[in-house]
Parts: sequence; structure tokens; C-alpha cells
Amino acid sequence: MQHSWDIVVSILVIFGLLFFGVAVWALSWAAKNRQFERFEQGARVIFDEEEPEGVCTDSFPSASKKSKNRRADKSNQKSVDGSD
Amino acid sequence: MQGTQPDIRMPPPPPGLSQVKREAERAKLSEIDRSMRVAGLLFVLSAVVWLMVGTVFALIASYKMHNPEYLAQFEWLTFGRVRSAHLNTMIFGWGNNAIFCVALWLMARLSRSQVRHGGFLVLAGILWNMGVTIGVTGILSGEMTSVEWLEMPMEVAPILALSYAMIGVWGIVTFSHRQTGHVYVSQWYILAAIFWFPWLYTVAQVMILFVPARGVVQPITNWWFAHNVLGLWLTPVSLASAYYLIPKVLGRPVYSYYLSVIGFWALALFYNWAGIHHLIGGPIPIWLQSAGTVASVMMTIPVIVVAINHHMTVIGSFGTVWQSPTLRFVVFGAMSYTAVSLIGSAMALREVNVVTHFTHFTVGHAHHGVYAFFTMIMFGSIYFILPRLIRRNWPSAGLISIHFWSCALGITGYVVALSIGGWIQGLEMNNAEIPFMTVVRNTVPWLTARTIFGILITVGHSAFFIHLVWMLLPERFRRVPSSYDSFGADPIA
Repeated sequence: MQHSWDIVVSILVIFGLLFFGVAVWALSWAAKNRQFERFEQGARVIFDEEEPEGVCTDSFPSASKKSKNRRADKSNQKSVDGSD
Repeated sequence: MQGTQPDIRMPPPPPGLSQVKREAERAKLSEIDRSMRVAGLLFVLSAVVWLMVGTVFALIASYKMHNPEYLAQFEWLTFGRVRSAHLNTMIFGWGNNAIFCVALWLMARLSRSQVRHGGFLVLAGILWNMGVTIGVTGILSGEMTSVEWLEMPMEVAPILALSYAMIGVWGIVTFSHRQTGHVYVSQWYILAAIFWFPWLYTVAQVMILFVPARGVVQPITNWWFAHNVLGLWLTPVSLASAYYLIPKVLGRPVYSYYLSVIGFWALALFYNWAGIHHLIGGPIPIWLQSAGTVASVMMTIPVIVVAINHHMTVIGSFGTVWQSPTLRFVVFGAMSYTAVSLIGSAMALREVNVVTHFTHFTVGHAHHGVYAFFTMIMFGSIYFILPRLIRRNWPSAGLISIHFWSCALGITGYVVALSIGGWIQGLEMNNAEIPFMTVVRNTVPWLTARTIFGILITVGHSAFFIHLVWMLLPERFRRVPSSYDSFGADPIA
């Protein structure tokens, strides 16, 4: 029993060290790969052309059409006023 | 560091986009969604069915706490079994299925990469749910282990491990095929969680059940595992979702992306140690208890970072938050994260722990974390993801409101009742002049309140379940023709 327990602990310790090694590698990879730079740009990767920055992308079902039209109206009005 | 804050009420049209480019982008996103449509739907449906099953177990267990004779003639439904069945159903049935859908969808969208061979995910999902079914049946039939959060019979572990491995690997494969240069903070959280969960589960299974460690090493491993399931599995996926959905729905980048990255690495560094605070005062080395307390207090760093970030992103847009089903739930969850984490750090202090330990305060705290934070964010995420996955709108605003109000009021009342009742219970237990049975009787009003708030939560869950079924019915059963139409875009054929 003691023997098998020693083996199990050894295996877990080895995997634990590997796990920690992977975490350190990930951190250094991120630093080298310039993941910790250009934060302004990084924060904007969630937006795309279908759901762009500056546009609310969720609403209650019955309100969706109405609020969409209202936003579109406001946007058009602003464009006409030239105050964008 | 700080993102600019455009006025979302008056969105400018996207500048300089050619129609062709927009169409290509839409087609690509549509392909990504389509690639995990069947698997995503399977995970969501399974999650919600388990949610309903777990809610029934919860109500039975809660009612039994103040009326022990209730259903006492059924051995399958004794308190010990039904309470464990509730916990395992919620964590492994509801929680994990919801996570599988949300995490994989977020990973695919953020990586701009399709989920390849989605059929494997479906197979893995079926296997996972078979494992949970066998496990919960085992608990109810009296085959459960005595280890909290690992009560399922140990034979189930290989099934769950195998199916998880298939799902986890798919997340990594999707990430490795990413088309984007930058790794968004949500991807960091999800990627880390994909590695953390199997490590926690395997080590705990091996060290407690398969080749049991001796003596106090078992409870140490048990609480390292149980607390980290919350901290390194449910929490990172919830935060990943909040970091994606809050800025995405508001159409405004996160307030400080720099802080969000610090928050991730601080969580990765400190949370792993915090679980030992469950054993404060127990027969384990004092240095280990102190390490647990220090790590729990250090957790205030990532928590405050996240709180500042989310608050500053949302500030000035609460009207928009209120108009969005997704954000109602997600912002409620994010606010709960701040509250529950700070209370948790306080509970790890010996002076506080001596009152709250072994009381209903801890039960209230656990539900504050797993429900008010995690579950509410998962609800919000499903409201956002499902229409995009299956290209259908949610059919009823009323059912969303019922769902939100029942759950928000229900869980708030639940946590308040058990926190007050538990604190009084702790003070009374520390007073040697009060007989133990008096302490027990004094908890009954608070436990009754818990059942009432539990019924309110059940109403919310029922509304969600009915709504989901309604959404999946053929078009003629739905109120309006409701093929999904993302904001500002024409529906994709």
C-alpha cells in the first residue's frame, strides 16, 4: 500500500511540476508575443463588423425592432444635422 | 490603459466598411455558430433539464430541514442523499453543461475559428450526461461516497474524465486554430479553466478515492478541490463571459484592459491556496491554515480589480443594462462576485470564522457564489448565445422578466436569511449557556424563509425552462416570426 502510494505521489508531483511549468511558459510566451502591449487595441477585438463598437447588441424580444428603429432614427438625424 | 467611452445611445455607422467585407464577416461568424449549433444546443438543453431536477432536490432538502418527517418513508430521499444529489446535479449537471456551451462558444467566437468535427462534442456531451445520471442515481440509491463535492460513486469518475477530456481538448484545438493575433482576456480565463478543472478532479479522485491518502491529507485535498471547483472552474468561465458580454452588449470596450489582465494573473496565483480556509480550527498544521487565510485575503486584489473594471465600464449606461436581458443577469452576477468574494475573504479571518464555521452562514455564502454569481452569469450568457446559435429570437419578454425577478429576489432573500440566521446560530453555539437544541430551534424561522425564497427561485427556473421549450417549438407555436436578426444587421439566410 505504502509502495503504491509513493508511486502515486511521485506521479502527481511530476505532473504538478509540469503544470506549473506550462503556466510559467504561458506567461513568458504572452510577454514575448507582445500580448501585454497595445491594450487599447486588445480591448477592441471583441467587436466585429456585424456587431461593431458603439452599438448595443441585445434587447428584449418585443423591444428589439422598436429600439433598433429608434436608434437608427437618431443616427440618421445626427448625420443630417452634421453633428456626428 | 483606459478605453474611450463612446456614446452608445447615438451609434455612428461603422466607418469605411465595404458591403462585401461586412457580408464576408457575417458569413464567417455564421459558420462559427453553425459549427457548434447541435453541440451547443445539447449542452444548454441538458443544463436546463439538470437545473430543474436539481431545483426539485433543493426544495425537498430545504423543506426537510424544518419538517424532517416530510417524505421520511422514502430511503432514496433522506436528507443526506437528496442534499448531495442536489449539489452534484447542480455542479456537474447544470454548471458543467452550461460551461461547456458558453466556454466553447466564446472560445470559437474570440478565436474566429470553427469548432471542427462538432459530432465529437455531441458524443462527449451524451457521455457526460450519462455519467452524471449514473452518478446521481448512485447517490440516491445509497452508493455515494462520504467526500463532499465528490459524492458520486467512484466508478463514474472514468466516464466523466473521458468525456471531459474530449470537450477540453476541443476547446484547446479551437484556440490553437485561432485566426486572431491577440488573445483576449476571456480566452485566457477559459484556456486556464480548461486545464485547471481536469487537474483538480483527477488529483482529488486519486488522492481521496482511488489511492486514498492517510489522515488529514484527505480533507485538505477535499477542500483544495471543492473550493477550487468554484474558484478555478466556475469563476474563470463566469468572468470570461462577463468580460466579453458587458463590453460587447454595451458596444464599449472594457474600461481598463490592463487591469483585466492583472486580475487574471492574480486569480491564477492566489485562488489555488484559498480552499484551506474551510479547515480553520481543524487538526491540520497551523501554517497551512494561515496560508489559506493569507491567500483568501489576497484574493481581494483580483476581486477589486474586476469590480472597478466592470463598474467603470457600465457606469453611465445603467439604462442600457436594464434594457438588455443578458446584461441584467450578467451585471447582477458581476456585482454578486464582488460581494461574495469580499465576504469570503472576511470569513477566512479566524475571528470571523469562529462564528460562521459550521453554520448556515456558510450555506448562504456558497449559494451567493454558485448561484448569485455563477448561475446568474450563465443565464445571461445563454440569453445572448442561444439566439445566435440557432438563429431564433427568444419569444417572450414577459418570461425573461419573470425569470429575472424571481431569481434575483429569490437568491437575495435566500442569502440574507441564511446569513442573518447563520450568524445568530454561530453566536449562540459559541455561548456554552445556550442548550444545543435551543440553537437548532432558533434556526427554524430562517430555514423556513429559505424554503419560501427557494420556491420563488423555482418559479424563475420554470419560466426559463418553459421559455426555452417555447423557443425550440416550430414557428407556428411562436408568437411572432422570429428568425434571429442581430442588431443592425440583416438576417442571414
